[in-house]
Amino acid sequence: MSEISIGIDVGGTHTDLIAIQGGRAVRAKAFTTHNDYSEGIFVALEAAAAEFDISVDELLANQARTFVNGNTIVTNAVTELKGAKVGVLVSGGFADIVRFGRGNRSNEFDDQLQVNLPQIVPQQCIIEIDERIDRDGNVIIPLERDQVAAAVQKLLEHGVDSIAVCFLWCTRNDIHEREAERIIHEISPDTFVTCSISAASVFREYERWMTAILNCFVQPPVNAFVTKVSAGLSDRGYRRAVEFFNGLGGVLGAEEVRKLPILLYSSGPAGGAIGAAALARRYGIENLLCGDMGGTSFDTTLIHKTKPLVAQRCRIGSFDTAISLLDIISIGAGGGSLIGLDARGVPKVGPQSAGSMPGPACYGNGGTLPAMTDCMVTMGFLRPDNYLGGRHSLDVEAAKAALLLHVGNAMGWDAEQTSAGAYNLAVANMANALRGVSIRRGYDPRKCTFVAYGGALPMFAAAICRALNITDMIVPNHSSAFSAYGLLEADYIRRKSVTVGWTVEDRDKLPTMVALRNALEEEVAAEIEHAGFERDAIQLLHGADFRYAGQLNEMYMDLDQDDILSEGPSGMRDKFDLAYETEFGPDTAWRNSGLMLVNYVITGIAIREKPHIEPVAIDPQEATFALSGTRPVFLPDVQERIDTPIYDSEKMTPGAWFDGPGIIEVRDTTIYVPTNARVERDGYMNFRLTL
Amino acid sequence: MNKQAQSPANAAYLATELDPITAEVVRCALDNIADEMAVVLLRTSGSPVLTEAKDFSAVVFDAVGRQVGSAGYVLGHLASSRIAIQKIIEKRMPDDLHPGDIFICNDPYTVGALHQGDVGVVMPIHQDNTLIGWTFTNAHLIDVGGVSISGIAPQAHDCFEEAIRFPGSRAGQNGVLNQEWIGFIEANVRVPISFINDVRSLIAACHAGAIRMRALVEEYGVATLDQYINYNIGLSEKAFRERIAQLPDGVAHTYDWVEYDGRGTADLYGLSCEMAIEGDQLRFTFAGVDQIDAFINATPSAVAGIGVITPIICQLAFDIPFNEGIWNCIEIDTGHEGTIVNPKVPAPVTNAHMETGARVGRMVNEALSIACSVSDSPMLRGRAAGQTTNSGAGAAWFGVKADGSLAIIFPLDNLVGIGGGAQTTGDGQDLYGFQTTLSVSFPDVEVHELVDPFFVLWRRYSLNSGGAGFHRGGLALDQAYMLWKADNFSGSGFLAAVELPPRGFAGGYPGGLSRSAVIRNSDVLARLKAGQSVSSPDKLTGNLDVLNAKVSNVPLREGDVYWASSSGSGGLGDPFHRAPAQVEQDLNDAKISRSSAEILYGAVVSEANGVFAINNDATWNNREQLRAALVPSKRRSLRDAAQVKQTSSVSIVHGHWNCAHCAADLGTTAQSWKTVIAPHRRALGELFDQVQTRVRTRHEQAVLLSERFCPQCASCLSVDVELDGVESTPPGFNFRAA
Repeated sequence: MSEISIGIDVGGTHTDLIAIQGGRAVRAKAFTTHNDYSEGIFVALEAAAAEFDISVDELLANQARTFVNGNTIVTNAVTELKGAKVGVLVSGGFADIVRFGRGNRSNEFDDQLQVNLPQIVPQQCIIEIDERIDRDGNVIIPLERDQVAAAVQKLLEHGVDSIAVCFLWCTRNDIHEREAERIIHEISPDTFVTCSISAASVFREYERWMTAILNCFVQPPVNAFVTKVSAGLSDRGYRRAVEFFNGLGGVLGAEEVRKLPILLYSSGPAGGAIGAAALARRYGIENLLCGDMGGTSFDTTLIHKTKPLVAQRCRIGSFDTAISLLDIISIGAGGGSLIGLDARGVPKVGPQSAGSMPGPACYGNGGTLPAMTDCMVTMGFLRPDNYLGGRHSLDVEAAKAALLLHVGNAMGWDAEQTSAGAYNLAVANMANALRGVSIRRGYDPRKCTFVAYGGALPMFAAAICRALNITDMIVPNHSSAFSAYGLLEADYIRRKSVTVGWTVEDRDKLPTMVALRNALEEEVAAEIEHAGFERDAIQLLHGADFRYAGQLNEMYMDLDQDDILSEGPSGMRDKFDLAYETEFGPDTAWRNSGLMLVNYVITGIAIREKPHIEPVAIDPQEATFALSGTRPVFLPDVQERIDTPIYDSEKMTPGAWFDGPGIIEVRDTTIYVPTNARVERDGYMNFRLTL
Repeated sequence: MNKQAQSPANAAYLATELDPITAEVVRCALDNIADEMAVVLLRTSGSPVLTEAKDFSAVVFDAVGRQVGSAGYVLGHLASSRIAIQKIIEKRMPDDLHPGDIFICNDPYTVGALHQGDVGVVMPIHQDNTLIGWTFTNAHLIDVGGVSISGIAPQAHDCFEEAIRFPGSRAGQNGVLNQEWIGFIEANVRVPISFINDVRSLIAACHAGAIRMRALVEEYGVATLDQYINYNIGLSEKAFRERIAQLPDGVAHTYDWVEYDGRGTADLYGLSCEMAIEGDQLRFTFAGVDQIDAFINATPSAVAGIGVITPIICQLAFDIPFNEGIWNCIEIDTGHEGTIVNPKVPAPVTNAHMETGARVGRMVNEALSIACSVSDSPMLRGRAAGQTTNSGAGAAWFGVKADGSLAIIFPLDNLVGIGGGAQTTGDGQDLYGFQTTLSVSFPDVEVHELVDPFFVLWRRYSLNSGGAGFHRGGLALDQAYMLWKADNFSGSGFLAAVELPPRGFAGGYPGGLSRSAVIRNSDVLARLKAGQSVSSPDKLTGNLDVLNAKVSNVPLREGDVYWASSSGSGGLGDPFHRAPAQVEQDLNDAKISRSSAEILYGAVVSEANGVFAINNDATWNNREQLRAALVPSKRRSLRDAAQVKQTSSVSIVHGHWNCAHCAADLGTTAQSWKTVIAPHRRALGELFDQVQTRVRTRHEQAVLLSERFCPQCASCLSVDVELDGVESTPPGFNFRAA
């Protein structure tokens, strides 16, 4: 019997588990228990163990090979602004930067929406320290130990849980940040400390400081969770290290997570993207777009040459940070997105959401405003008696009444027309988001396969493809738990950067550059080794942020290890000019300007063992045997209620196919196959649509 | 300036059989095109003015020159771009236009630039040789020649000294810049490489827009797309007309002054605004004194863009998708030529947008607040706000770095660090910027220090800069820097609101003012050498040289500290109504001083270990007593009056003005309620000195606060700003006789 890999995704509502043993995948679901997340985890583990017909102790002690967790603790703490009481030591003269950042103005027209950044650190807990380092790393004003000690005492009196040390130019010289950290440890060994240099060793103080402050802000709940889960699993016999999934799509060990919990931000959407990247490799597809639709949002990203794109300097909640995350665009289009009329009387979908409480009108929990789910049950895509595998029943009449009252009557539309209108708008919004991650970044969506997962998206995905002329689409088996599955496909990833500021034409400074690169290589490799990997199993990927002299924004480019040594026509400079023009168009490179390498970036990867999934043999045949009946469904693309064939996924054997229109019902997912499209269940048991 | 005719013809399209869902998809697609153009610009430009201060725009037009899609950022460019496209169509159509033509526009007099520093590119979009639309991109470039750097010339006497002007010149064909023009430009600007690179970025963004526009035409066909564009314009127009119709017919009127001290005397130049509501149409009439020979004169787009369309979008049409339909509801009359609101060549205009344009914007802010507060619609009554100050402390520097290279530095920090007006929903936003500049931010300290020969000493809130009120105005930035490993730079300064503050509304007080200074012969280098802190002005000694607001050739030497603070915005509602707990919070947050809490908010303050406490009951008692002393007729409790939450200080009941807090009768609406209540007048300078708020006191024509209190509850109902010895009708509303 081969060992079992377990992925558990702790989401806002559900805790999804997927356990893979050889070719067999077991799914389990539990409600997320917000007071103590480990309760929900163990409920899901019980269910999974039962499927394998063993006890949880047997599963954990003897069968489980890996246990990877993804969770929304950090995302929630930042979104809800609930976290630790943080104290900040900051360079003298600059305390207010913690409060106002680089200015508060957003892109909203409405002056009433122009409000200040949320204040997560109380004013009296931001204390200035008289110290200063200049841009060349020289100590201009030395740090006074007594002043730091007094400030720390004051912060402790204010009852802070953790302290962020935020000094200017620590990227050039971290002596003051390190010294302050030592002083804090001496005075209060149990207080959690983050130096901004540890959170992000790149220049631009606001982003670096916010990263350190947010890290302190989210640390207590993450620390408590890590302790609880690790202890819980070890009590039940699990002997290996628990791993945690981060927003960059890799895993981290418990020790690193305790130090840099902020790295867990946005790990949920990253799970799906990593799963999709693995799927791309398995199919030999180079480029794909993937999408996930939840209750409140639609997340999409692009996988280029089987690798997800990475975005740098990401905004976390309202705050700019120096964190890199998978480049995922999120828009307010989910099952709970509200349908209404705007100031002109034109229908709109979202961005407000009904959430899960009270939820859409059809939930019958007191929600009176119509949401996307109301449209889907009105049109007949969802079975009122069998929503989410029968865990909810839906009130169609309440859905229709809400749609008419708030939108339909004003437009002169019936409930079905209203639903179809909202459906088409939601599809247009999601297609625009896909454009955002593809066309806007220079990739052609028509050359991509669209991988659609989550419970709701497969009802919309074919229409999105049609809007973008995408002809190939995959709905994974286990679509609704695909993010949990993605956890098992992750590698161990550590990304670090160092601010260099090297003008590449300045060959005299090359030795300094080489020394910095070597030191960074050593640092990344050592950290991964420390996490339990062999040195020669570690792959180091190089890259850098560049900008032309006179520009203020950098562009990232992958590098080979020794690219920095190269000169001349095929050298790094030309490589960058070319990459720049690929991004921004011909004749846009600043060939007359110098080129500066601003930050050097190394991504260390240690390959983890993945689930072994082999395709099974297929037997191509029309899927008439899987037909479970027909149902009148109002099809938004044909604007008519049509008796639509319904297929039972359980009966769709590998190779079974049919031509649309038709609907495939999976336990908690509904797949819509429109007219002039064909779907086939392939050897991986996924549903592949040709449009 | 031409009057803009209303075109209700568009409404006809609303009746035709078009699918509103498709219309919405088309609308989003057009705005997306502008967005994508903006992204290309942002990511390729080298100008911090563009990448951080977001002083740029991207707009899409249809073939006949109607605005159909735009990307946020500088709202004033909605006027610039519209004028530019109209002028190019007039001049070039039909025979002198070819696919790939590149027109450069920065002449405020002919092609709508806000000022010469804003360089625009207009390109036609063709498909199969048929014109299908236009793209416009525009960015403030760091130098456009002339006597001064940064495109802003405080010392110029006419527009010929100010900069080179491109009146829509064809600088390229077939999408490529012409070498002859490149040569000409290189010979006329101080930083030719960066200028040409930025123009290339503007062109690249236009290309990106054209590609998307062609795809859209391919998808829908020219005729159908046109129908949907008409439909969307009609929808926005209809929605905005319905909104205007909720304002009562009549005229809101107000006034302001532009400050100019660049020739040795601190002069004020008056201007006025009448906003007439006629059914569902808005008509603006602006008047001003004769144009002057300094850069404050307002260009057409400064009036229409900064002055009118910006406040309209942020305050009144905030939720209506913007397109040509909004313009259709507005008329603008700037009177005869030759005034500061309608200048003619050779009047200098390089600061049109931040001076007269910005003052027009402040007046329209106030006119809209006045009109909204007499509307029957609760939503519109909630749109009143304190004036957004639109005034910062601009400076630009020029010199040679240690390595011998030329440095032009235009730190935008104090043009972004401007407070926003108090809202009915809460305090004004701190560091809001000009109302017209969405998404603005300033560069990090480390970005400045890496790029420029600068060392920043401090960057903090300007204490007390937010106007006092039930809701406080937003705060501004106070920052100091010095040269670092460089010497002998020369600079120019352009500050507004040094003497005349942005006003509050409905009893709110004015915001704090701007100031710039150089601490000369300071001990800063000696202190640093000794490892001592230089993080606040009280740690430094030296001669404080407070600069004139409009100044050029300012020397900055090693060891001099340049120190500037910008203006905050006006408050909303009586500060004596503000909850004592909120005043305490502001005090502990170091946003207001103890003197301000005590005098402007009537708070009773105590302090222990550096933490302030405000006694709630004692504060309310103190407020009652202070107001009773001012208003002998007071016979109602101020504290009770403060519990009546109102978005305005007066309301209308059966044709009479009432105090909104205690319902005291303030006379019939046939006359202004301000004629019924005698104002209390006091000098702004004295008060602000007393409460440690920045102001430069005028001694002739002193700036006065004119406060009006309710005769019964003594709530402050209005605080107007007047000049001693200058007759002025207080801002108000005249209902049109039925």
